[in-house]
Amino acid sequence: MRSLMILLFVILCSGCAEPQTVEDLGFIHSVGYDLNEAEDAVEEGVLVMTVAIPQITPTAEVDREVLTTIAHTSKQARAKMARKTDRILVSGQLRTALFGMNLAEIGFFDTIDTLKRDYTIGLNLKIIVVNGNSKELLLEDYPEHPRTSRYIFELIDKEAKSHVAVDTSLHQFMRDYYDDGIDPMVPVVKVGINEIIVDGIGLFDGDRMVMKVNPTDARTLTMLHGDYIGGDITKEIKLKEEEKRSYLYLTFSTIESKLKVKVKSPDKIDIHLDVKGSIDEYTGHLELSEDEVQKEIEKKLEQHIESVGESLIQEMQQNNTDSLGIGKFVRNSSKYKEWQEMNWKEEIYPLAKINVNANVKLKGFGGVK
Amino acid sequence: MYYKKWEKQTKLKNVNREASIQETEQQNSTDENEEPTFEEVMKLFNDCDDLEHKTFSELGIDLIYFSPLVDDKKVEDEIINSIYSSTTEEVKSWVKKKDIPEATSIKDIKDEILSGSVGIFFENKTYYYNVYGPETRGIDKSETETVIVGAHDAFVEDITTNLSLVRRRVKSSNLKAVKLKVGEVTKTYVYVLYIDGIADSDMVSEMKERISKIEVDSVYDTNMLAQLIDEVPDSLFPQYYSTELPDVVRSKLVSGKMVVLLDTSPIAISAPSSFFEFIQSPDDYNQRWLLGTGLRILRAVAIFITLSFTAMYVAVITFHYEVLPEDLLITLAESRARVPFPPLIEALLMEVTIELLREAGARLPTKIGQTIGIVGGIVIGQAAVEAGLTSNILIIAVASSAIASFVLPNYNMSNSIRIVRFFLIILAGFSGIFGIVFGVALIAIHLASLTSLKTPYLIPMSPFYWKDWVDTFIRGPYWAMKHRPIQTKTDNTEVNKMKQ
Repeated sequence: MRSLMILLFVILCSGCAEPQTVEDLGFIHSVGYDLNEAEDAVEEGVLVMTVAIPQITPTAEVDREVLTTIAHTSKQARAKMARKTDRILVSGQLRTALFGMNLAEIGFFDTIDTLKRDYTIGLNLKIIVVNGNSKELLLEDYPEHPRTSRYIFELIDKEAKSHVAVDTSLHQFMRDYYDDGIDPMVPVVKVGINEIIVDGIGLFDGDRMVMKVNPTDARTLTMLHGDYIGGDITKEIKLKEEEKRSYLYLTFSTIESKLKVKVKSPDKIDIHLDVKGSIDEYTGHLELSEDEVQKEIEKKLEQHIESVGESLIQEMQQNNTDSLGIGKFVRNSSKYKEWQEMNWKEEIYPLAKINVNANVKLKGFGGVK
Repeated sequence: MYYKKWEKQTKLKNVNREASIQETEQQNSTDENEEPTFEEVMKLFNDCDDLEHKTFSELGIDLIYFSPLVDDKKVEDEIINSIYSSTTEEVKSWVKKKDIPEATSIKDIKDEILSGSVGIFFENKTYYYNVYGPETRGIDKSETETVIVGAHDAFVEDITTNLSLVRRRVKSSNLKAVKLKVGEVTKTYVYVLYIDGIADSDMVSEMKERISKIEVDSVYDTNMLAQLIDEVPDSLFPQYYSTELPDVVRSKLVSGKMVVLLDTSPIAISAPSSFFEFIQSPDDYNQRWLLGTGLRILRAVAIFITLSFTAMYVAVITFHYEVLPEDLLITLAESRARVPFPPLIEALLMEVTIELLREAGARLPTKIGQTIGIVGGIVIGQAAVEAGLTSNILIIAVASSAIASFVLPNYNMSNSIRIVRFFLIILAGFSGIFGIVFGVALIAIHLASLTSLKTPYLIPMSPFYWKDWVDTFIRGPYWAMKHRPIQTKTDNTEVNKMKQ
């Protein structure tokens, strides 16, 4: 009897809990933020917000509902958008947040902050910068890829595995943003013809994107960032004994790369890379099984990684972004007080001497042409 | 707690009852003391037309017996043939030689005739000769508890056959079978079986006391008996393990438990019981121990699925859309978009339909029963979705929880769990996963508060007793099963050792 009373009590108490039945909800899957630059815009506001919601009415002709509006804050934008749809907008299924290039360049931390505060949004939300306009990206139809938001999500997920892009979650972004000695980096995409293309990696100074790394150099960048498995490097290569031919290319796939950072002094840093991999494709005519050829290839690859790495780091120093987290190594090797007094990123980092040393080891030469 | 309340009530009643018994005893005393005469016995069985009466007038012998209760062949061979064409002297010496017992009172002879004896009235003396042997069903396979590998024979309605099935398996003088009678009118035989030296004597006397205290006109089945002697009559869960298989009875006896058999019932109950016995099947013991363990874990998962699958559906659809993967959510929302009811009503509708199907299948003859499967499968399953009455994911949830409920080896427990599921669904519809958690907690509290013959129901989980875990979710290897369960309170804890 007593347990029945408790049962009744529970039902009565929670009777007022607001049900959110799935068919009444418009679960936002992608959200895009842009800076409102058009001066003659119909509505007032600085933020252009676009959301993509998967369609659930079986008879509807399009697979998604895209809403866009201009507002001062993202929550105001949501209220404005709610006026245009019959479904309750909820963000519990938000998977990707896209930021237009114009917004990324001036910084978008206040927007990220509201995403972080919303408890329904998971920390696995992907942060992506669009090279161009995120509103256009979401409004565009991609006939071969239904459900744009899912398309972007899967694209980034997959490409991050081969290190052409990085997979930056909201959690990682926040962590790198607040952490001392490291800056966030996020994947960059752009709109192609009927498709979305991964367009490298964007590096940040605080919440501003200041530099973009091309997809071809992306693997070298991730090598310098941490120990990752997989990913290709393709390079034009001319070996000594090779007869003169204009078309000599080699694709090297990394099996593993190991990063060692040696901080001699805060302004003198050695980065050592141990890369193991195999040759996937080679368009020359030499026998790859010969030791001499292998050694030469290893050497050429080492030079390539070193030169690309160093030029990337130089560019980063000029743009004052430390997405590789070199500052963390400096911090870890110095005392807390020293680090506090150092003002490393603003003063020392731009002028620091950072050396890249690569050691490539060929483990095999699988598919040989 | 409940048992005590019940005990108190019966005690109060007993005071009144004892007085009335004394009265009837006084009345009966005439029966008891009086020398039985043929005329008076015949008067007693007035209008019992199934009473057979044979007279051998030249010898002055009257035979009376109930022909439905006796073995006709035995009567013919052992009594009539001996008396037929004999002289008075020969009959006398036959009575002496055979040591045929003499009835001293009317009550005596009445009881004997009712339990299948032939009453022999000869020279003003009354003898009885037991030739009990009514028609019985042959030993058959169990219908409710099927075993794949292992003994297939199951109990039947006849107590003698059942006792022989058990005796055959436990060839020991220590197997005791105490005979009691229940039912004020029907006087049905109850046997309490236990192995002396293993079973706890206090428990045995407790059990005997409870059975002898039962005050009803009739006990129809062992499952009814179990309800009359358990501690929490209002609980949804069975507190004694019931089985149809003599093999299970043997294992219970050997582990130090008692088994109660009732005449006219093919079910045996064992006591004390723990919740974990209900997920065990004899098959587990016949498999390699790892496979047996796997099967038990599967059944435990089945309990969980039965309890919570539909409730989970209701909770997620109504409150927690966030927990679903996006692909599933879209399919769900698409199929839900056509359904006009709230998820709770939708789920209850389907659950009730499934229960109707199950009940109809159980009541119908096997030949028509198949039709139900087709009607249920096609009409309810497919058409309900197409008509937009339910979403197809719900059909999957309801069907899988129905299937999971049939995985449980014990029919009583499977029914209990199916009913509990409805509470959870309603709770989920009102307060989501919070409701489910609350409901499961209530069930856990209730189970923990249950007792079976004054021993905890959830032992060895609560109170925790790690040695017994080798035979709960785990069917441990035989080398590890060295102790009899603590629940039996036995002094003889070590297996393979018989204190004698």
